[in-house]
Amino acid sequence: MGRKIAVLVLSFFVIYTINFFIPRLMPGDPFSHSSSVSGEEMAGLSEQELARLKAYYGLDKPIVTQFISTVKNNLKGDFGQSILYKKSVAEVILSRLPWTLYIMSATLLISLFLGIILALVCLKKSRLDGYVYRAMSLVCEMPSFLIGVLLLFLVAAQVPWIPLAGNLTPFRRYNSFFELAGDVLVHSFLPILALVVVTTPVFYFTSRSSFKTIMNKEYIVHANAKGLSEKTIKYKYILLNAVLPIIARFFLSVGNCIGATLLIENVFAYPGLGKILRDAVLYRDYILIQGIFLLSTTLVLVASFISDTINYFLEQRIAND
Amino acid sequence: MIKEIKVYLFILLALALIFTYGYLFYPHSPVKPTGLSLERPSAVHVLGTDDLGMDIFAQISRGFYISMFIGLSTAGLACSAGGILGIASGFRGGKTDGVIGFFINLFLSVPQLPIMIVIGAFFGQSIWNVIVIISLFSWASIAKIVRAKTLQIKSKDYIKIAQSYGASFFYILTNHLIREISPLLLVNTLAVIGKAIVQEASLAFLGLSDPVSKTWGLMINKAVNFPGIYFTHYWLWWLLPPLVCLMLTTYCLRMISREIENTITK
Repeated sequence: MGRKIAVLVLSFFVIYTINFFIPRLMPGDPFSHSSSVSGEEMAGLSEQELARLKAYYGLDKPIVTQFISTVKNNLKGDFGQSILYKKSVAEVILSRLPWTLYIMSATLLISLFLGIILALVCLKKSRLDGYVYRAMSLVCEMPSFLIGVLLLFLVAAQVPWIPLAGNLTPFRRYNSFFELAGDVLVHSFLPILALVVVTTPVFYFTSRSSFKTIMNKEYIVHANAKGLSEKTIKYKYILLNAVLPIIARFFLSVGNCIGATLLIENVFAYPGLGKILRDAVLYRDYILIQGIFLLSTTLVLVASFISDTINYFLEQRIAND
Repeated sequence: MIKEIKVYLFILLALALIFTYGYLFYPHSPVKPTGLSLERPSAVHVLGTDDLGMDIFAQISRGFYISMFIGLSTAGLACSAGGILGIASGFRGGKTDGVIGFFINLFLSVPQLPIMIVIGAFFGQSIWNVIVIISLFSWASIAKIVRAKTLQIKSKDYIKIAQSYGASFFYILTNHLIREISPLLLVNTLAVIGKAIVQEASLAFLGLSDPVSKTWGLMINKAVNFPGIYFTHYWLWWLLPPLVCLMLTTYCLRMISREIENTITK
């Protein structure tokens, strides 16, 4: 266990360092970029001015000092100023983060639920299981953003009450909380649907194989012999025993899901982190890019660590048996 | 199993033939306007034209070659790196295994898309950068599988006997390891080709791929960003063909890889 935590901390440190060094290893600096258009040297910054600017931004100090001061600032919650939004990076990210988290958690929970239900229903019906299995393996190879684009044209453009983009109807006044909630739901329906289509198979496959292993265990045979009802066996014996690997898979899926969510947000112009990440890239807002990257990486590292921990305890349990 | 592989291979081959025709013999240029803006599909322009009057079919044909080039180069890079590192890690063990194992886990746990966006944004947009970035995030899973297989083979008796007779690493590699590992590598190479094409399309969709080489992803990006496309019929011949081609190609590749995998493990 201690080893796993050490690896987690080390991974975080490596990613943090890469994140710090990538822009500094690039040729050029922010001042020559802003003072010259399309690579040609423009009159503007003299040597003294350049040195003054570098000193002002602390870029004249040795790189180790810069690194330490960056770490200090980040620990205080200061991730720099976004060039594009003219606000602090933390502020920009925090204002958009809830939307991304909403899409992600809704997707993961709905897919988890659907995957488990499908696997449970098909458990004893081998013909139905064959069809579902084929359908799922077909769907799971599709990239989610293409499904999003298809949904956009096949559904959003045809159905008048499903909006094409955004998270809320602009300039609309809400009389009650339910109106607001309804608007949010209608806007997030298609992005979540596109993601659920690709994520459900993951949970279906995991639950299916997990159920199948447990079905062959002796205590299930014993429960059957005792004459316990089908329902009790399904829910109390199979589902409860199979639930841990499925939950481990759930946390492992966060990594895939975050990438897919960032893309899908751009398909539906949904104002979450993915949207500002793309804007940040278009306007070369390096500080904001780094902030978003650091946040998403940390999220995924922690989630996969949780998944690892669950698997570790599962292995311990199997070893003890 | 074999029958299904043949079907998917046939589809891929048919696509390749159609696009070879489109690239070599089709009269319209994929990079110059050859008609009016947004023409409907007709006998002159098989799939119509885009907003700049460039022929869609010619563009898709060229996009197939660019996408395949990206997929194959990425697969080549990722599989050789993954194969070499996986074998080294599994066979040498000890410190080598510790270091390589750490990097395998690191690359597997980092979310791919955000870091690809970051690197793509900082290192500029060219086809080679895209290939390097995607390979950088594809080798780890291959290395992990190869490492596990190597460990499994290494513990077998015949390897131990060979070693006790004084067989060198290269003797074991060429006579025993390669034979067992190459089918695994084949399966993964095919899977990586498909993944790389999709990942390039995702990057292109975000506007982070090479703007000069028009891949299917970039075509989709251009079509979706055309103002008012939702209220017209343009998407039927501008957006749908590259999208369907992209889905079909990656699906066939993935399915071939999966069927081969099933055949091997059985």
